[in-house]
Amino acid sequence: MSVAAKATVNPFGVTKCDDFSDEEIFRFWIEPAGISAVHLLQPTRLMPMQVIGGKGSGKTHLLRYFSRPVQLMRQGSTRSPLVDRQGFIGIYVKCDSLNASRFSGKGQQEELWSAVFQYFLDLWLAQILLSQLPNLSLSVQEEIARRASDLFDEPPTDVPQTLEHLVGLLRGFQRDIDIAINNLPLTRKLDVRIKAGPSRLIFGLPHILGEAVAELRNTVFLYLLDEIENFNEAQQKYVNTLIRHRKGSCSFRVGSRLYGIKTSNTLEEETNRRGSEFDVLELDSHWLRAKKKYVDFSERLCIRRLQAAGHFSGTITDDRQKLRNAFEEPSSAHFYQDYTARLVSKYEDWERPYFRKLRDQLLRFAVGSRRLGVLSNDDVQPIIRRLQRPPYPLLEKLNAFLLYKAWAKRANLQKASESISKQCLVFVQSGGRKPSTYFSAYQHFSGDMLAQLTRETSHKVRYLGIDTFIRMSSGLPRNLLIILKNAYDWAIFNDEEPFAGKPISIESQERAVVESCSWFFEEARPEQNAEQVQRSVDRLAILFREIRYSDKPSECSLSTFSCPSQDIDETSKLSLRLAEDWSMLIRHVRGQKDRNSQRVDQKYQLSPMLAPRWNLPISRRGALALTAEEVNLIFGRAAEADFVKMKEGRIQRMNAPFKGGEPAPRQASLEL
Amino acid sequence: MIDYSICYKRQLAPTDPYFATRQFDTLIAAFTSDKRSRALFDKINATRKQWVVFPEYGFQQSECPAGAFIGPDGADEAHLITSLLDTVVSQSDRICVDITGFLAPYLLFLIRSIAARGITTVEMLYAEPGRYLKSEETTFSGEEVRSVRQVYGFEGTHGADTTKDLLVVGAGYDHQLMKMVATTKEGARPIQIFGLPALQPDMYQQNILRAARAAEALGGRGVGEHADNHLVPAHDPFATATFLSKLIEDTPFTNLYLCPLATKPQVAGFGIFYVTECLAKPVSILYPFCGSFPKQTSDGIGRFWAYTIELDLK
Amino acid sequence: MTNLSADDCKTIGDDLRTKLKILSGTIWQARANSPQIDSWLANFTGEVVATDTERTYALYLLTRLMYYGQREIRALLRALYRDLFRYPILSEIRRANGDTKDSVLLNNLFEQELQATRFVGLGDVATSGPMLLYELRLATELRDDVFTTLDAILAGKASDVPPAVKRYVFIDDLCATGDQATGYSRDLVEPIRSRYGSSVELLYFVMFATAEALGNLMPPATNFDRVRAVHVLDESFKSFGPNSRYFPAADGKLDLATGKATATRYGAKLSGSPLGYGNCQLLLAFQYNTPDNTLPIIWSKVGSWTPIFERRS
Repeated sequence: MSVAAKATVNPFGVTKCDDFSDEEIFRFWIEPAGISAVHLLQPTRLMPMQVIGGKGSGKTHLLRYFSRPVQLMRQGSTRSPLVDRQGFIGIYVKCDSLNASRFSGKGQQEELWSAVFQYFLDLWLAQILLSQLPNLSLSVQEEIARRASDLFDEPPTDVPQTLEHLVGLLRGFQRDIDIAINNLPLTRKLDVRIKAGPSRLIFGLPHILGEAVAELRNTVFLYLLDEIENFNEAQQKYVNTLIRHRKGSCSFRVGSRLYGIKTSNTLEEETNRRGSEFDVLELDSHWLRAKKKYVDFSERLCIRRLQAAGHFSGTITDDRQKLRNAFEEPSSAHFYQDYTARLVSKYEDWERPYFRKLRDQLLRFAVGSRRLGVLSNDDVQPIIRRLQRPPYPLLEKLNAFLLYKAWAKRANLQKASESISKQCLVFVQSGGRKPSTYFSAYQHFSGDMLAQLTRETSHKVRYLGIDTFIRMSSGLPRNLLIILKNAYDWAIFNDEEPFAGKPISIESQERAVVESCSWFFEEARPEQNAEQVQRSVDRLAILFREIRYSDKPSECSLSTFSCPSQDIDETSKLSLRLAEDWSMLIRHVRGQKDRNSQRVDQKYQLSPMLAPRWNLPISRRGALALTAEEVNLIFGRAAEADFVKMKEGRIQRMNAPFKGGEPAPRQASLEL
Repeated sequence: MIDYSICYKRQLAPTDPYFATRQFDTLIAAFTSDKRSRALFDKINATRKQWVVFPEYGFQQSECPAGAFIGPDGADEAHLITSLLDTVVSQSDRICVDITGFLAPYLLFLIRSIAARGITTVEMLYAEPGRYLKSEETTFSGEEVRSVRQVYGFEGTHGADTTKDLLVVGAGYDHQLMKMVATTKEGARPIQIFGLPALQPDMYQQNILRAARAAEALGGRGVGEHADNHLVPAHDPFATATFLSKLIEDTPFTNLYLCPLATKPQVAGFGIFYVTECLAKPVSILYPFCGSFPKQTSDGIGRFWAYTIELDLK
Repeated sequence: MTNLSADDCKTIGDDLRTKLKILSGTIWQARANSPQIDSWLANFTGEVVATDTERTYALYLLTRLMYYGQREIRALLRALYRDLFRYPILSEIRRANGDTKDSVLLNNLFEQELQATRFVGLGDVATSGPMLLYELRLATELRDDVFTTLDAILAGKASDVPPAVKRYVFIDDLCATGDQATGYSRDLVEPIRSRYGSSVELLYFVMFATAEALGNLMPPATNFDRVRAVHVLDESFKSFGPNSRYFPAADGKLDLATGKATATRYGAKLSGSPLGYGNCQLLLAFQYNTPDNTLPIIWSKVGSWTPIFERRS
């Protein structure tokens, strides 16, 4: 029927990272960072634990790793002894599956909901526990079932004989509640009979099992409650109560996103304290510590996908190289000579924009200054000429930058430009190794200078290549998959045959990055205060951007700031918290944490998945030290005008004439 | 599987004899600024005609038609609809509902509530849009999504085994809403329904363009050809219900979550299906509840439809 | 008529290209990727307004083109069968049986009606008629024996004529002016009518029709007893008509006059009807062919013009 259709399957089309089993994730990524899963979670330790982590921290993988089904898979067979040498049974539940938001409102009292919810949760967990015990003899089952029936205030009329019957009974009780809740809007009455006191089943069943089954005598029954942020405060209080008053050999591991724990109180309003009633395992900055391993893991992920799609089929080493080569990137040889030559090619006969700007600035602000060595207009040209090195626009930019630095120090610009010129020559002749001062400047600022050059020549600042994409993904494989998915789609649309020998073009990568950043920005939308948080991040990014693209940026590769933790106002604190929770900012832990989790100073990086929106660097080196007042202006409710004023104040020192520079006696009529 | 396509439906001409011959006891219609939500109110013969104004539209008292039912302050979908029906409807009424301006949760609960009152037949009318104000860039919901939750009366009896969970999304234009719902049930296998035939021939690809922005959240299956992307008519509640009926017959699942985010007839189809086949099952209807909705989303009027909903099919 | 600023061309163009990427990767099944789009855009060389402006309008029109691929066509044919054919018969049966809900009974009675029906493609092998019939068969999984050809009917093949058959359903894809269908009625269908009179029902069902064309075909203007379309294209689908749904666009930056002038100017070099046969001004294409009622700039191969969705004659 048709004209040739060439639809292809995108190897990165499914952006959920389901490619590795929980086992493999540990092997390739989390464990190699130094600590095994068992050491992290300590499943046989009775002390309850909170496992806190944002998206992509591996929290769910870690908890699921210890769930009974995965335990059994690890042993390789479901017919192995009840409990292996590990000594625990993991009862895993995703809190969301209870649809707990049902248990509130609808014209009923909160106390009633509380009681119903507790009973419901008990039934839910009991069903999971019981349905994960493998074959027991009928007599043992009968004993368990009988004793379990006694846990109820009113024993059931039809006493179950087997575990299956028992589970069926519990399921029936649960269904009764579900049906009652679903009919509630019609009947206006919550018709629920609570048949067992709170926690009777949760602690009672393990006790019974421990007594009735020999192999379970010394087993820890580990309740793994994942994503507890789906419970409201009252519901979390019940869990806290269970933790505080846990019995026998039961324990809890509670998984939550960064700020998902709503309360540490129990139903009786006692407070559980970290260190006494529970420990905390924080996973969120895990990948920051394990960077190398994450890179390795990411490459494996990509290669695995590409192999599955038939694009790659070699050894890991070969395929790693193929992956690198699959993306068009400008060559960094000879200080990006080819690439920068193309950028400036349109200025063939004219002065390059950065020198024109410098010239205008010198004419406007420096002429007439004895100190700077610029007595008349004629003194400007020699300075510029010394900075020129036409085959290497990037070095020219660096030279201009060094001159600005000298200018800011009020040094003699004639001498300075001579010195820069000499150093530049040595640098080129030594292949970019000497002298050390120039080399150091290049190391630190070449990235920023390249970005500036790109913008000044009216091109888009680019983020290219697999290394960049891995770094952008900031520890979340999903982000990487999305960038690659978009890159592949654009490459196909541009008829490029990606991963089949030809590298994906710069244009396709550009489009992919723009799309991926937009997606991330949209995703990172907090449920509350979204506008406030997005505006704060926008302000921060604009400040960073103006610094990066100023004449004399104070920090190189700026995407991070530090600030004190005192004197930050409440709105700003909330904005910071939400921005971090939604991965727009990444908090870098530094120094000693004190017991109540207050940092001496805090350090935040703008997410590399957002940085391209403002043409900011995705790697981080320098950090901007902000005062509390400045933080409040950025993250608080300050009016735009006040923020702008603060920003201009900072930027002024970085742009000619570097605040305090003497204006030329004749006010130039030149407009910059 | 139940074949809902035996139910009567009829496309109405502007001067259709239907309007003269059919008589109802009660007509309920939802008020919006779209002309099409008001087009049928005067044409229908009904002893009692009742406008209802949903708070999410943000109408001022003065903007509402005289005698409109406004509902108690802060009422949820169950409360508002129950109060409405209590005031307006008695057991034996022949009820007609113009669903054009209804918001999904209210429409769904209306179906549940009517069924619970033992009423087995209700006539639903629908006026299609001529076109949306900004094609695929039209906004259909306010900024703040307050919560994703089950619609009252559509909360199923779910189980702890989530290995084969399904999420069936009626893909609409509002990709933010689709994303929110998909994120809530990340572990579920997503199945998307796209309206084809669409209400207007160019709306199918507008739908594709818009839903593509939610593709990531829906497991990256995108909006193209895929076994889990289905084409179901946008204007036909019975085809929708039949599709869902076949789906649960063919697809084993542990828990099923439904989310109709496209046209009102689609929402009605989900509601009919649920009330007929899903009560006391591990099936729920989820919805991203918004604080506000725009008063107007479309221009012009397409076709008029009358659907005779039967709530006692087996 | 105004030119767009360079910035606008860039911003609007980028946005449109992103949409085209989605369309290309989905509905178009990669039939027109970036290089094909660029070749097509190269046709527009600034004869009406600035080149970049013309190309932005072209991109916009391309995003509005209603393209139906194989999957979509099958879905429409299913809808045609279900809504235009099956439902009216089924509901009549139901009413005649006291509104029964017994689907087994209803389906049995419907089966009898189906057995007495034949689906026929209009037009010869070169046209889309037979192909559509084939697609209909795949889409609905109907048995072979309810399909037949005009030749078989006119030859009086017993299984395909009354009294075995009481209903013929003629299928087509687009009825934009009604000219072709009127021709069919007169040349192909009339013999059936004259031979069998009112003992047969003659139904003409299409996927798309303009309101105007449908009006032209209603009995007694033709031999068809009933004429229906899955989608009726009203005035607003006339790309540059006064009620066009396509303009203004991009928050008012793209206006109808400029769009029309551009399409007309280049269209005039390509066809005697610069905006499509019958001046229909449609933006509609099928995977298997593009109707000539669609703007010629989309499909024409005249001279050195590079089409984007070419029309095969």
